[in-house]
Amino acid sequence: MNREASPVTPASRPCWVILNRRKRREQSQHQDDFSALSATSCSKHSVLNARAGRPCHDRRSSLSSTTATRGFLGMLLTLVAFTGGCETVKPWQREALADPIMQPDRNPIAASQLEHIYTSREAATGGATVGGGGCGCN
Amino acid sequence: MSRHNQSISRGPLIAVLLIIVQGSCLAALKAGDSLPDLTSFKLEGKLPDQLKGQVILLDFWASWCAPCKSSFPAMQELHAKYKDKGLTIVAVSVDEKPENMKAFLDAVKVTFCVVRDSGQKLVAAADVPTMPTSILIDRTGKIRIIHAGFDANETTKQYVKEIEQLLGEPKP
Repeated sequence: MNREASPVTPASRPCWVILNRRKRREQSQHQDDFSALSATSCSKHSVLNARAGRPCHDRRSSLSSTTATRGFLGMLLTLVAFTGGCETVKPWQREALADPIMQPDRNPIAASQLEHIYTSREAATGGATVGGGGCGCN
Repeated sequence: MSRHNQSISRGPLIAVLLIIVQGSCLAALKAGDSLPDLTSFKLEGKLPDQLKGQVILLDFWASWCAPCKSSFPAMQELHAKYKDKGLTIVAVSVDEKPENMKAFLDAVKVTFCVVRDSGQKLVAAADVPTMPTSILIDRTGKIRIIHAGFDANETTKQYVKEIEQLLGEPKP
């Protein structure tokens, strides 16, 4: 159907036309509200701007300042919350960690042999203890 | 500087200050500080009646800590040697289970004062860097030396030297 050619009567307006008009009307209303708000709260110089359809600069800067302050307050609270939660296990709190059940290897001799074999095979000194040079002969 | 920029620069500054305040609330005991009142920490066990004017060896230990246990014979020797000259040893256990402390003390008989910091408040106030940690306090109640860890030969020699020096100082 050709939209340009067809006669548009109020009764037969397509919905997209109605929606566009409504949108334009809402935008215009919003602009009027903003101008009125600026005119009541800004300086004389800004009132002229507001009447000319330009937003009040004082108000805009105060709004951005408030947003920045809120942002930094949020960052500050987050920082304090996270740094407060950074806790290490204190030396006197290691009773549970010192329990023999926490040891991965119960037998120290077997653990030492396994470590020796591991470091030899990996051709490097071990991460846990001092191992051999990697030749497999020590 | 505009107000907007001021608010930007002030945020991190306040954050850093808050972090410093948090850290300073948990400051550890250090040489030169006065020994806090031990009775205020609700320690389990009987503290010596007279601590004022004594040289005090305050030792933080636990039954699960091997070097702590190995320090007990040395401390018993020090106690036997210097108790009449004015040395008082107070061993503070940080064991969470009193039965563990009791089992160790049943095996190793000591005659110096042993108490338990059941709430771990004293040890937290002292913020000891390691286990064991022993603090030597002079006759005026000032912390003089802090020993972190225990080496059977080296630390015992240091104890003897330092205790004799502190005992030789005039009474307040």
